[in-house]
Amino acid sequence: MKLSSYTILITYFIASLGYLSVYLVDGVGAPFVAATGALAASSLYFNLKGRKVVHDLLWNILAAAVLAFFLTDYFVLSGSLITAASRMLTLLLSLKLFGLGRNSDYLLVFSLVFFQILAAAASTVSLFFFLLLALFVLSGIWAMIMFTVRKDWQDSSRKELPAVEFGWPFFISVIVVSFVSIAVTLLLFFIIPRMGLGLMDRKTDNPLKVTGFSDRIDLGSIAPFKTDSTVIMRVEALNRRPGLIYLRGSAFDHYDGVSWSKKVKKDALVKRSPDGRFYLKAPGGMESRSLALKILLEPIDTDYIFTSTGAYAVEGNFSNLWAEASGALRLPAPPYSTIEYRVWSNPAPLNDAPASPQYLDTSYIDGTPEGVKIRELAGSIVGDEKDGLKKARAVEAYLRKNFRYTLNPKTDGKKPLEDFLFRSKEGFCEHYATAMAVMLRAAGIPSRVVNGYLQGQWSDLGGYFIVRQSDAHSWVEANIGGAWVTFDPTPPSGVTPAKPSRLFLYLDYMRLKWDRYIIQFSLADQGRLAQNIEGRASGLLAILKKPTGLFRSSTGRVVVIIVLSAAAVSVILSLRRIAGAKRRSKTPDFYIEMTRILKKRGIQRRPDETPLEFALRLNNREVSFITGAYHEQRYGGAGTDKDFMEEVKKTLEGLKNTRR
Amino acid sequence: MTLMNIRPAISAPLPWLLVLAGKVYGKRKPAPGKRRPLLKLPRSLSFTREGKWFLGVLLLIGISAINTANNLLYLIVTTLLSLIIVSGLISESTLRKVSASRTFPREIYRGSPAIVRVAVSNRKRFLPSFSFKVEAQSAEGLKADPVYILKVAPGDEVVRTSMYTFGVRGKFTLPGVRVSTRFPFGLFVKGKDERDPLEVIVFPSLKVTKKTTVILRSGPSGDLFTSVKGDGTDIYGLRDINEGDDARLIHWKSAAKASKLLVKEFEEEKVKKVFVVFKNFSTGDSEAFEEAVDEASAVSNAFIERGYSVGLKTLSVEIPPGRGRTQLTRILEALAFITPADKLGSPRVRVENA
Repeated sequence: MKLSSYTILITYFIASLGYLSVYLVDGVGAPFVAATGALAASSLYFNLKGRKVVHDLLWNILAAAVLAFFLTDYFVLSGSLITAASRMLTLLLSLKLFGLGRNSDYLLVFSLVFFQILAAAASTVSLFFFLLLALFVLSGIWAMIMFTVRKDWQDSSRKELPAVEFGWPFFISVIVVSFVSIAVTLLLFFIIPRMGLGLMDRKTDNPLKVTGFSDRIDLGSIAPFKTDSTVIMRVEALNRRPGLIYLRGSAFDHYDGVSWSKKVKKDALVKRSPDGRFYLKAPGGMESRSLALKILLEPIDTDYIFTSTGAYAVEGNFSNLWAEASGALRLPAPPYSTIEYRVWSNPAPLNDAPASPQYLDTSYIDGTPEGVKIRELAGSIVGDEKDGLKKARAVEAYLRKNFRYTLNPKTDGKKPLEDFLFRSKEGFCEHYATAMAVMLRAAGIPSRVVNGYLQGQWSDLGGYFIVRQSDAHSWVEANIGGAWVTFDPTPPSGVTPAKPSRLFLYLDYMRLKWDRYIIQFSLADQGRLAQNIEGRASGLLAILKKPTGLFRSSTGRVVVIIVLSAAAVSVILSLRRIAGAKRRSKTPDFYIEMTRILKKRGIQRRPDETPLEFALRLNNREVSFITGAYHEQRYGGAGTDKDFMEEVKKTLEGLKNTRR
Repeated sequence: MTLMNIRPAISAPLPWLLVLAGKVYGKRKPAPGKRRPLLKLPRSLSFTREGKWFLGVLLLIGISAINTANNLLYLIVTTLLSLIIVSGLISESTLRKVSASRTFPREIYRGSPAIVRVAVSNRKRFLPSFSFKVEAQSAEGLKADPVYILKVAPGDEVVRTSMYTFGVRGKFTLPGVRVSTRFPFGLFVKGKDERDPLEVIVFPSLKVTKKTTVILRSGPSGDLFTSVKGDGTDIYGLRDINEGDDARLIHWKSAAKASKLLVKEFEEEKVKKVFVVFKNFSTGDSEAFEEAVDEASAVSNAFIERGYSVGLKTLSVEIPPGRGRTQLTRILEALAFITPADKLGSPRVRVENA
């Protein structure tokens, strides 16, 4: 391929990476990227014909216009520096593609794309970014190689650059080196020390919208989210316990007929204890059996964080926490970035502080005409049962059995609870939870409605749960004998969620690792990494001190075999190298052979003699011929052809066989 | 904490510090007594204009990465750093096992460009070398054009010519060649010095100057430059034409008679013997001395070219008269190495009959 079409090809490839990068920048917008991308694509026509449309003067005028656009964009339209700058870079790139000619034009294109990628780096957290960066490195290496060759050639000669055959070995070696470079990039990435403080922390402009966690929740507001598969968080259970994990968000204590809200407002500030954890209450001697979760929460538009039921400690990178009376936890402000934290909770409910009378509040039932019917229903379900737990189980079982799960219940929204209980007898988690909480209160059991998420989908790849918007859920907590117990009256929806594809699980796993180890990588992680390496090194040291231990494990044996064979190979290689270096001495083999034959007969060249003088002294036909051949080959640069070598060989044989 | 803050600033540009150290060390000149420094870095490295930009951008992004704790900026910084490593690997593969050998013309004259044959070979087994320059390591009194080579295939050799101009006469030791490249990214110029000590003898300049003409005119045979045809004029006889004879020597009249081509043979002119006398007095003005050396050489050359038997007389050396190129070489060699004698005076050249 001609170098010029090669260059155009690679330039457009790199430019397309620029457009994709800009697409990742918040606020630039797909229409803008599509329009400028289409403009750029049309420039390909002119470049393939070798025509430069935008000449220097026009370019300067256009560049000034783009700068003016940038200023308007920044101060009037977007107001964001990165967005405005990305748009400016994209416009410049689109225009420059119409004016390719000199080396510097191409260099400018590559620089613009580089800065677009830089802008994306400042704005996105997407895994896609890494793909773009890797492709930019791979193609950029080739582009830079070609341009350097072109420039070097132009510096030394005025002639047209001839076609350069790079050749397969070189091509492959560059590809290998490029991948090495990406590996080195990652290695350096983990090694370069982090400051541990971000003066301008990464924030996203559009966190995920979630529902169920405001001060007042209308019944039915979760429904639209039940079909949204956006991932909200990923939960890793550090020690698996049997049973479903309920991720509590917010809890409500007051129902007014259409919505739930909070009446008990006794928020307590939790301070970080010296060991870095936030203790919510005493663990109660159950640490060994407690459930530990590691949660990676996507940026969402609420300040609630999610914990498992019965949480007693939280560890995370926040300054302080607010604990509500219901046990819900709030950050001082919505994080607007991905956060990671750990939660420890008790598997069994414990005695808490005495329940507030608000949890027995039945003012709604008492004030509504159908309140009597609700009380009657509750009474009929509970019967003469005296035990609180049994009462609650009965209500739970009744609701699970006699009602139909649907996301579109028949209700006008004015009396959703009554519609659910007495008319349509269908609904979803919010209706079930509301009905149970209200009926428990009618039966004299303190109760509240909790909004949060179910554990979601299990990914066996990374060993974590993928929690999505559709896992949003409502359930009930009832205070039985002084302890809060979780009840879930909602029957299974009957629709088993589609099993995620393998590809999705892989992608999600990569996204998790990307988030965890690239985006969230911190000084603390580096500390952990260093400790880990130190631990392994000391383990290695212990093995070296007592090497016999190695053979006990099969991995140890494999390691020993690998190390030994590597050592053997390297020894063989270096021996060959040394031998090769000897063989490559400038004296040809046949001359060395001759000296050997002569030496056997006690004839040796004196150190002060040149080969020629030596031959003259011996005055032997064969020796003279070989000396001549030696001179010809070493100094004349000739004598490698077959006939000649054959002749030399024969002469050597002759010399060997002559008797003296 | 402060220590923590400083660390990234040091470790991130560590490769650069190494380069800097190399530059500082590489420029250190060995003490006059020593032949070469004990430890010489095998490669030299310097930035191009693009390389400086690259470094600047890298540092800027590095600072903003530290400032924002944005890991993707760290990722870009490390990408750029790894590109430097890649650049180092590829440029190393370009320079590795590449060597150059030079062949000089037999006669080199001070001040006139000599055409030097530069053979560049790539002894690598698989990888070609691209886009590099071979030039003479700088030495005082030497001006040499670099040779640019686009590609040498593995196991192949490429031959180019280069013009070397020597500014001094005498024995000249060429330190070796420097192979350097901006390949692959044009960010750095990496070079390696190949020790290939070669000695050449630079003869004095043979350029005919005004003063040379004056000397020739005042010489024993009068105006040499007007009597261009110095050979004898009396015809000795005729003989059959041989290949290579000058067509002007054909005796057309006899050729017509004999119906074959006959050429004239001339009586050999009586060989004229001269001495070029060079009073190599010591003078404070070294330039004047060099000029005188050049004059002596140019005059000797002029006489030899006209078939004279020429000898050289200086205050220190005397070469008996002789003819032909070998004699000229002998004289030029003597003049190439001549140094001012112990006596003070102004160096001058004249010609006298032997």
